[in-house]
Amino acid sequence: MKEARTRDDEIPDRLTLHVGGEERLFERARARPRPNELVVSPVELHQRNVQRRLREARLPSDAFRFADPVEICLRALEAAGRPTAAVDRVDRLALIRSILDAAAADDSTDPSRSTDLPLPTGASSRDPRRVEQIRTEVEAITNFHSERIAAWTETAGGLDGPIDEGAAELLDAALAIERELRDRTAEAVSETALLRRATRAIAATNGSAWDEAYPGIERITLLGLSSLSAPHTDLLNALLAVTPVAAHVHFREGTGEYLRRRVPDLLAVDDPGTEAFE
Amino acid sequence: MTGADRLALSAPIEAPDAPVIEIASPTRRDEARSALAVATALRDADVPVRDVAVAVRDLDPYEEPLFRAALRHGIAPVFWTQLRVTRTRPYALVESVCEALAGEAVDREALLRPLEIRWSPAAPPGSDTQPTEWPIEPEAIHRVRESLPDGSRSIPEWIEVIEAIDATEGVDDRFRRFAQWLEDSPAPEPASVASLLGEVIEGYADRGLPETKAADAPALLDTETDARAVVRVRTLVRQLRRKFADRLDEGTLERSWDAAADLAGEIATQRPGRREHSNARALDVFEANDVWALDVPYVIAVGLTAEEWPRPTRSALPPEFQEAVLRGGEGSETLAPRPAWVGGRDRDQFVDALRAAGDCVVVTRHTRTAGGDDVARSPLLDHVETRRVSEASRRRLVGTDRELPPALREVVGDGTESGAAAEEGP
Repeated sequence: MKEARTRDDEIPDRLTLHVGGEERLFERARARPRPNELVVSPVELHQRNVQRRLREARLPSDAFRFADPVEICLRALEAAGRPTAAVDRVDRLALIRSILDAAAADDSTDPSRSTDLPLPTGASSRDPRRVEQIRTEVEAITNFHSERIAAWTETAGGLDGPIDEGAAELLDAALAIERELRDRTAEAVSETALLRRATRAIAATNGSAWDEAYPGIERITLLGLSSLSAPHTDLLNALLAVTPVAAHVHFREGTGEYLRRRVPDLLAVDDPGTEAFE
Repeated sequence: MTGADRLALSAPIEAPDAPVIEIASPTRRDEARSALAVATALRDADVPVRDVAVAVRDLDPYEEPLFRAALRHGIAPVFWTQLRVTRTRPYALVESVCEALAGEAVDREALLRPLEIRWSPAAPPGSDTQPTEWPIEPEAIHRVRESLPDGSRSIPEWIEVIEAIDATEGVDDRFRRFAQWLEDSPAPEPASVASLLGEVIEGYADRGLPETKAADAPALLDTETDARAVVRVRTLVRQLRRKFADRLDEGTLERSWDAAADLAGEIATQRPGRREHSNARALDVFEANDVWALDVPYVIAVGLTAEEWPRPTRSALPPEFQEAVLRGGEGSETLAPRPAWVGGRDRDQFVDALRAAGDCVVVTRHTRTAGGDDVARSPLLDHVETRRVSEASRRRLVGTDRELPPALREVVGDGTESGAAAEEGP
């Protein structure tokens, strides 16, 4: 399979971006007393495909430890002594429904006063699933980081009316619902919130939370990505900043060339993992 | 988007080394038959089933036609996909029990529904008493339904009705015992909901599941689905206990069997698991997103139509905003783009399906809807050179002789010859 790599001044030294080329992993398969490479794939069956190929090629998998991004964050948080409980989607939708109901009740008791909750206009704006979709999309694009939220506002402002206002409303709605969710639960609002918490914990402990969670891991390999969300980017950014681990990202071939070009800009935020909610 | 970036998401796809053979069939059902006929004809040509994988962009509209086509050809498919638990019998049983218990009164349909889905009392531990007594045969349920009156009644009233009929016409005692079991059920608390529904599921595992197995085809596909569903519903009942307790604490749910049924439905439709079992003699059917890094000689990619593959991800964001984020200029540099907005994920999955094949890719599509409208060819196919199978060859493929199309015959033949040549080489 063809492979293209990027390694230049625009990205941290220990980050290597690949398009395809995942079979390079098999070249590193060797017997070892314990793993030194963390193999991370967001899609569950992709791990199994890699393991199946190792097995079929009769290669040892001792060098590899497989995980998904959320698992990694849970371990890092445990090592840092931080809480790991998060609300799941079923409960989150129920919370959103009660938030929407409360807002609607406010409106009806005092019609002169419109609700504090800024929701986008449209028939489906009171559907919890739609509100949750808006929240997760904004989260994937911004990771609720103040610089990216500013970038959203600027980008929306550059569009023609009325689309500019529509895009700004979606951001406000997502931030408002995220705030309300935080007020209503002691747990993390989502697994993605745990990703941010782990990102901050790794940075705040200057990498010791990571070392404790994954001693002996020298390399982290991200496989099979069709996008690089802001939460994943920020986690990677923090790891590269405070740990000696080398990171290899393998994009998929249909989108890899495009994504590779975008990575340097995506990494250009300060204090990755921090949130604009204080 | 800048010229360069736009190009990157619509750039030519580098063609794989393996040949790509294209089969167009009239309808989706024909397409599923063509795809399975290829798998079967390959098997007839001594290609192990394990060396073939089917990749489908979205299994929803294809699972049923592929399943039927597989049965026709005597192939056992394994769908690596979500088990749609709400459509299974064990789930329907749990739901029907909640409904029979919900409210003050139920009609005879709601009363008898659990029995129709093979409600059986859990077998006493370590015993196997009267294995033929439960579940109640459909004929007996039908007879009793005929003799029960219309209208809604409470469970105690139904027991009286059943006893009255019994006195005059004779109803077998199993109906009274079932109604009595409903009557004796505890008030819906987290622990009691979990233990009662747990008991229902174990009753099904002991006595309902063997019925499925007895009625099943030799490949036991229904049995597998049923058994997987039992496992899933057991897990669901455990989750239900915890979530029911949470919701009661929060005061967001009332203490009722109705509410328990709703909550079970909510849990069942979220993040379903996968059928994780592998069988070397079964044909693997994947969703296209899952074939990444797979390495098999033959891949049959199904559903290459303009409507279904690519199908950009739905988003709440205006397309103009998406485009600005994808472009990554003028202040939007740090915003994380999703190539899926413009079909990037579909491109990835298409390339993955092509790359997964070592010897040959067969792409299939259909050309009209069930209603007779035209269905266009996927634009992704424009990126690769395909060898098209004629309609006459396709008919011979799906016919009783299952004749491999010439293009595919060449691949199978070539494989053997080059293998032999390599062995004889210096």
